[in-house]
Amino acid sequence: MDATALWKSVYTRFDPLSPPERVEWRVDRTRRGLYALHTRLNLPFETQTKILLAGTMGAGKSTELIRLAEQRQEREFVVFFDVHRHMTDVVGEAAALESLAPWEVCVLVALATARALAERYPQRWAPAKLAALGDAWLDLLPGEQRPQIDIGQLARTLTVTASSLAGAGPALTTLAGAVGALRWNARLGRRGGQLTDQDPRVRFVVAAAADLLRHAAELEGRPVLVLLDGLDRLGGAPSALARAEALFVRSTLLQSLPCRMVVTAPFALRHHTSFAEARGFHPHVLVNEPVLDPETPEDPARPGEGIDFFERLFACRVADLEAQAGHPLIEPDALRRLAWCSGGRARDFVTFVQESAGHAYAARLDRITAEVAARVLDEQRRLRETGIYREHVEVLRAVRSAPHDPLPRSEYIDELLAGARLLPYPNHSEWFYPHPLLFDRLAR
Amino acid sequence: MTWLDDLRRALALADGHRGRVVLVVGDDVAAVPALMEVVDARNGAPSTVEFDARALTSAPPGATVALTLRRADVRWLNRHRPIIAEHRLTVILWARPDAADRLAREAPDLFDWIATRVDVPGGEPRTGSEAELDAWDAYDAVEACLADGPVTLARLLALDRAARAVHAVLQVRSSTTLGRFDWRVYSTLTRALDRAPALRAALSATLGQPHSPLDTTARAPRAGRFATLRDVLARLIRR
Repeated sequence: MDATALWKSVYTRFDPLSPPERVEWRVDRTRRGLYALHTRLNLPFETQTKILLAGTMGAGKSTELIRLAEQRQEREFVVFFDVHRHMTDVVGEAAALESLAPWEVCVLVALATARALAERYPQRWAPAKLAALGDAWLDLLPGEQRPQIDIGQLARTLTVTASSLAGAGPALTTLAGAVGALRWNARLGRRGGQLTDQDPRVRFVVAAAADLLRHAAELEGRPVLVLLDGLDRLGGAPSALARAEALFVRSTLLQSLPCRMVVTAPFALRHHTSFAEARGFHPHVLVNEPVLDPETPEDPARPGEGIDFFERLFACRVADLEAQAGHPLIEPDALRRLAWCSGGRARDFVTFVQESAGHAYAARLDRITAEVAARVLDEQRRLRETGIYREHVEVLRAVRSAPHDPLPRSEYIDELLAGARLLPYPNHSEWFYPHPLLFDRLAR
Repeated sequence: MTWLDDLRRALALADGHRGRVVLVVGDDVAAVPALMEVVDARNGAPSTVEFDARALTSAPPGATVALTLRRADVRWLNRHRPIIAEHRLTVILWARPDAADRLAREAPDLFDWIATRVDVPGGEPRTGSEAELDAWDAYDAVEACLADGPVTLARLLALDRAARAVHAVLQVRSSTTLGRFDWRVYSTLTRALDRAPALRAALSATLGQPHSPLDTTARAPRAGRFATLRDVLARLIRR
């Protein structure tokens, strides 16, 4: 393999915009990521478990959810659906995600399940159940849209990853949405705040969605597990918190659906008392890998236990490339430095490696050296410092001086968390610290 | 190593099979043609210069897009960022420092996707309202590309769109200001077409035909003398 092909392979395998392509490129998190969810989902007396998964941006929620789907598919009929992607790519109104009503999320869950069911049991599933959902939904749409709805066609526009077709073995299949088949315009997110859970039409449509989910479980002879990604992207704080409360706390519609479910939620909810008050949901938090030691957070010579995760991540993604090259593709110190400076954010680490591959290629090196890592980290430092104002620096310095205390009351906290300038760590009690790339800026 | 070397390195392994965002930050609009040269030199993938983020929705898969970041587009870009991954676009965002700061603060999700930041030295900060800054940044960028880079129909049309955005801003000013700006547009197009005789001949042939590409330039309300590209080109070609 020549140098161009080699570094191009590294570059494409560390893609910060997409979860890893191959199963073998995923590794267990330090605290076993979503492993605790298996225990919860395995409880025999809790057949309709609902879990609310809050996590910081870039912490690897989507990757872990896909792993969970792969691991659960022999126990349950798994349906994975990304609401954010659907609203952006198919509905074409990303902003409508921020005003989705709970009953609309129930409709999407049922449509995603129907989509998977129709592929898996083309002869046995009952389209009448979907038609009933369509009729119930019709009553809730504004008048001018009523004659236009064809729920069967709408369901086919959903991109769903689900348990494979019957007889195809234990693997997940992604059913691509039919592009351009229909216009979803203005069908979602328009009447969010106008209808309560108690509205008879809402109860009717949710009952139809529930009926469809029960039908899926009957056909399968096992529970349905819905993994709902994308509901953590409900806009910026504090509005995200209000929207999350509307979906998960003030409503119990999602919790009432007869299936198991894991739903992503904004991290802003994590620090609000309502997170624990979301009736019917078990809260779970997924944050950064603990690469900093809480006692010596700014000493890279004494890192946290999370460094090991990134070493394993790098090793498993390039094992074959290193075997072909006959030497390591990164110096060990450089790898540990990149891991530590990532602040435990999987996306940052992946970006650092991708950028390092570009530098190594440009400099015609056969491995990522400490000098390359230092240069990449300097570029990334300038990127991370973009948009930092004096007020931000003051808050970050306050956190830095007392990382184990509760966060200071400041209007900038949510913004700093959302922008990954301030990071939560799970080792010991949850504690917070500025992103390592900002240490120089804070020391100035 | 210059900022152009940094940009070339940042794009070296991008191959149209993955989405990628590179942020180029600077006040020096004269650097934009050099940026476009780097973009144009990329083999295989189509490339465009845009000043409206919504153009990303129609960019061909795998394309390289140099986008002048309008402050007004920041939230739209954040919401619609999946387009970049879905269409496997390589997006080079050219932003003045204040626009880059706004991107970091108001578009945290998109900002998290930025692979690297390249800083362009020099230049003077521009002042004005948000709408003025956006309109002028876009116009300056396209004008600079036409002045120093290849002259293409796409860039002429981009200049036309940008000029109309500036017109909308200037309409609140005096007719003298508008006239001065029209003269600037006219001069830019004159110089550009002088450097591209083949394009001038092709445009001469297409003017007056139905469904000419220039029909995309509708006359803006209360537009000035040279408000549409068709008008300007007709004058130039009759010269």
